[in-house]
Order: sequence, then structure tokens, then C-alpha cells
Amino acid sequence: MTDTLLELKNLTTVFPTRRGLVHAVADVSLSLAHGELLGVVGESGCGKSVTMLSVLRLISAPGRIASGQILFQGRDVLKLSNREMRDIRGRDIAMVFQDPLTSLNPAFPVGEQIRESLRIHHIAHNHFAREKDRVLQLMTEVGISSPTDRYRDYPHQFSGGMQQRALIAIALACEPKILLADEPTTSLDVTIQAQIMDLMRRINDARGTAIVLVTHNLDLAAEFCQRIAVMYAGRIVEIGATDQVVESPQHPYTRGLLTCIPRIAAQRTRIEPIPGNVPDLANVPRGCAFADRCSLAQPICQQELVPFCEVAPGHKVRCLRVNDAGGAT
Amino acid sequence: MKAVKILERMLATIPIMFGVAIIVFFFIRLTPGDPVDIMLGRSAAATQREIEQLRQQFHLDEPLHVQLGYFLGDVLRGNLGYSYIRNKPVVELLTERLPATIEMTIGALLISLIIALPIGILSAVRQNSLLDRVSMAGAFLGISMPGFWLGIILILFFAVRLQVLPAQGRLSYDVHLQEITGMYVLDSLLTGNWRALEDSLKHLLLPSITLGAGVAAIIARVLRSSMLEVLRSDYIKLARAKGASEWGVVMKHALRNALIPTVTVVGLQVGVLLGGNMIVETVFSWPGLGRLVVDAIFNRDFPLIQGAVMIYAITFVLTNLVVDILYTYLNPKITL
Repeated sequence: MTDTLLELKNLTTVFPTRRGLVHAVADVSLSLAHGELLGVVGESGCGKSVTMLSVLRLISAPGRIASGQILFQGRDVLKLSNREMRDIRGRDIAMVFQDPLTSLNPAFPVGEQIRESLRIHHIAHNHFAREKDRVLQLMTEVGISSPTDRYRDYPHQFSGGMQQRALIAIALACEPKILLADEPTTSLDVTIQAQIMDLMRRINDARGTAIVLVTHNLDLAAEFCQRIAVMYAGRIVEIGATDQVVESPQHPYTRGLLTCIPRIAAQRTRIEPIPGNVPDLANVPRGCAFADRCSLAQPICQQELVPFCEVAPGHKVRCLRVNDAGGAT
Repeated sequence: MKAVKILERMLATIPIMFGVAIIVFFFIRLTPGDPVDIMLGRSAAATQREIEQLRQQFHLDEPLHVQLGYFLGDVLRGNLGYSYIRNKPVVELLTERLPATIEMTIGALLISLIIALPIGILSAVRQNSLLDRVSMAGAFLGISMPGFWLGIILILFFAVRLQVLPAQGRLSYDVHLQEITGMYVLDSLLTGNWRALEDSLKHLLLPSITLGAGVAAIIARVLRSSMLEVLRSDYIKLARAKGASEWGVVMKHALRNALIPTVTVVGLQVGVLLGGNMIVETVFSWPGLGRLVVDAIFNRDFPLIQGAVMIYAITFVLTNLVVDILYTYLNPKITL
């Protein structure tokens, strides 16, 4: 793929804890093309946020990236100096965090926080009036009404939805090539959620910004993304085009996630919860981490590392029982 | 708008001062000992008539509530009475001594901030580093050392052994200075008297360190722990994700928020500094309010004690007003 913008190769991020080394991200490989919409789906603690923070090298100590490569436009981000890394953060790759209230600094006006992104990367040559014009334009673009009045307002004077818009404005300020959106709508109510997703889609259309949407909501990802990666216990277990993953899920975990989504149109069926719990990340079994909760599991599943198996072009699954599983549904 | 609010707050301190005045009045009269005895000395020469005369003169023969009435009436007219022992108006005594104490308190506060701010910030940024461990051990020492002991050790080392700093007083005998405010450092600056400036700074240094050490330790610890908390917050992560430099993240985003709890503590510590003055002024023979008050207490000099405590209370109340005003700048969620 020549069109690849960002590529993760066998990324492993670990956190030493009292109970042992936690592999929050284990051997993750992903690629993102220019202007692509990629969904990363999984339940809390599966390593999706840590993967995103790893891309920006924002893992806080004692956590560290243990191995792997992160190639941004062909350059390995992990080999850059701190100075070079800072130039990439915010300017080329920007991030939108989950909780807008705690992500905005309570001590500074929102407008100033947006302007800071421009100032850091010298977007308007540190020219105050031009920076401010650009901020007002950004605020309008993300749907903050009467930006001139709101420029000097503080985060606590904004509603949740408006705070999230402000965060998106901060992320968009330098027109990044990639937007990493970490659960951008989780703390918002459903109508606001739809508006924010709409806004992100428009940004993707208008500017060709590639977006990685990190969410625990498979439905949301299916609606928004072109490709979906499903993560479980630090590993990607299934990846493919949205249609492939949603229409013919191959991994038992993906299938479990899909049956968890309530549907109004469908007949009245019980929602099937996935039995059991997520394994302790300090103590992940050698084999398939999902085997304990999987109805199709066999002794061999627990014993050896499960390789990817390409079931269709671009559709890859980490499951030994792919063929049997296909037959079972 | 803000100015009006500040004025309102200043007016609100008036009833507080009245409360302080009343409490001080009664507490002093609860202490055993008769001022008239002390005034006349224990000589048998004083006749009953003389004693009665003095009692009448100072209204000590009247019931307490009448005495309180006289006292409050005088306070309203800005008259804090007449010192029994020193034979001078209390207001005059206080204005004479207050500048020296203010000078030392400001000196101590500045020294403690100069020490505590960098230590608090650095030890949070480099948590568990050697620097962090050494400075927190130092802070522990700073809190534990009593002022009189530290003062004496500093005098022994810098004044007696090295002979680089003076051991007592505010100015050397051969240095002359025209007094304007009574704060010698300020006065020498105002009159352009560089010799006096150097001399008064030298005299100020050891007492300020002695007084400021404990406060520096407390400020450093509070700042460190609030910095640690702030540095873990989401908005710090966002600042880093924007590409901000480490300096910008720490000094702009983190410090601004970590200062909020720190400022409260600094405000409260000003009270500690005022109290500590009494000991440090005695150790360094510093002619300030603290020593005046200690003498006044031993002599049952009621008017002088009352006046001095009122001054302490006003200072403390005003400091807290300043803290509240600073708050509104640091934390936009708070208004006066």
C-alpha cells in the first residue's frame, strides 16, 4: 500500500505493576490510509486508548513501548527526538480525548486554549490578531455559536457538547493529517453524540483528515467507519472492512459483541451477554485470551499463540476455529 | 465591578475587628496579675491613695462592661490607649515598631517562596529522583527545627565563626539612614543610600531565613503534592498532545492550577510568621512588634497588648483578603 499514512507494526506497550508486567497492547499491527475512517472497537481496558497514546508517545511512566514500530509517513516515530515528536503532536497527529470537562484546562479561557495549538506550531507566525481570527473561524466550523462572545469563556461555562466541540477545534487547529478520537462521544447524550459524529464526518469529507475512532460501541463504529479493528485483551482479534466484520463476523468475540446490541426491528430476542470476564492483563494466557469465555474453545486454543488467518481479502481473524465457527452460525 | 467587591470585603472586616477587640479585652483581663502593682513596683512606698488614683486614671476601678465601653469608644476614635509601662501612646509605640516586623515578615515570606517554589515544582516533575528525596528530607528538617535553635546555629556559624553576617540589630552603628517608612531596605532604596541598603539586607538575611525555613518547608510540600496531582490530570495530557514543550506544560498548565491550594497555605502561614516573629526577634535583638508584645505581656501592659493583638488580627484578615483576591485570578470558577 503506497497510500499508507500511519502504520503500526507489532506494537507492544507494557506497564510494570505490582502484580507483574501488564501487556496493555500486545503485538498490534494496523495501518491507516490517507483520509480513511478506521474504527478500533473493544471493551474498557482492552488497550485501545493505550494504542492511541502510544502513537503520540504519550504513555506516562512507568509504562513504556516495549517493541514494535510506528511508521508515520514512512518515518519511525519511536526513533524521533523529543523535539521532533513534539512537532508531530498536534500538527500532524491530533487527539480528541474522552472526557471533555477534565481535558480542558480549568484555568484558561477556551479560546486561548484553542489559540495555544496555533501558537505552539507557529501556524499564524505568532501573530495574535491572525491567530484569533483563525480561532473564531475554527469555533464556527465546529459549531460553537457566537464565537466572539465565547472566546473568553472558561470551560466550566460551556456545556458538555460545546466542550467536546472545543476539544475538536483544538485538535483541528493545525489541520492535522490524522485525528485520533478516543471515545469522543461517550460522555455525551445521544443527540449530541449524533451531532459530534456528524461534525467528524464533515471534517473527513472537507479536509480528507484520516480519523481513528476508538469506541466500545460497535454499532457506532459500523455506522461511521470504513474499516474496523476489534481488540481484546491488548490484541487485535479481527480486522476488516466494516461490511466484512459486521455482516460476517469470524471471531467468536466479535460475534458476541454483535449479539449484545439491542435492535428494535428484530424479533424480541434476549440480549446474549458474553459469559465470564476479561482476563487479567498481567496474566494473559499464552494462547487465545478469549478461550476462557468462548463456547467453541478447545484445549489447543489455550496453548499456542494464535496467528492471523485471512478469511477474505483484507479480512483477518485470530482464531483457530475460524472454519468451524463459520459453520456454527 | 471587582473594585467594588474588594471594597465591600474590606468593609466587612470592620465587624471582625470589633469581635477581635472584644475577645482580646476579656482574655487579657482573665489573666492573673494586677497592672497597678507592676506599675508601682513592689515598693511599699506607694500609698493606698496613690494606688486608688492610678486605678481611677486607667478606669480600672470600674466594672468590666464600663471598661469595655471606654475601650471600644477609644478604638473607634483610633486611640488605642496609653502604655502603662512605657508612658507613651500605644499607637505611637506600634507605628514605631511595626515597620521592622513587616520588613522581617516580608523578608521571610520572600525567602521561603524563593526556596519553596523551585523545590516544590522540581521535586514533583522529577518524582522519586535523588533531588526529590533530598529536598523532601530537607523539608522535613525545616519543619522540625525550632526557630530559636536554628537562629542560634545560624548566628554561631555566619556571625561568630565566618563573621560575614551581623548577629543582631537592623543596621550597623556607623551606617546612617534617613527614615521614611521605617522599613530600612525600602528607605535606603528611596534615598538611594546603597551602603545602608547592603547593610540592612545583611542584617535582614539571617532572621528572615530563621523565620522562613519552616514556612518554606510547608509550602514546598504542599506545592509538590498539588503539582503531582495536577500533572496526572487529563488537561496535562491534552497539553502534551498539542505538542507543548515540557516547560510550557509544567510552568503554564500545571503550575497555574497547582498554585490554588498553595496560595491558601501561604496565606495561613503568614499567621505563623507573625507568631514566629516574637521568638526570632528576641534571638536577633530585632526591635520589632514581637519583642514589644512579649514585654507587654510580662508587664500586664493591657492597652499595649490589646493594640498589638489588634494589629496582628488586622494583618491576618488583610492577608486572607489578598488570598481571596488572588484566588479569583487563579481559579475562574471563584468570584469574590
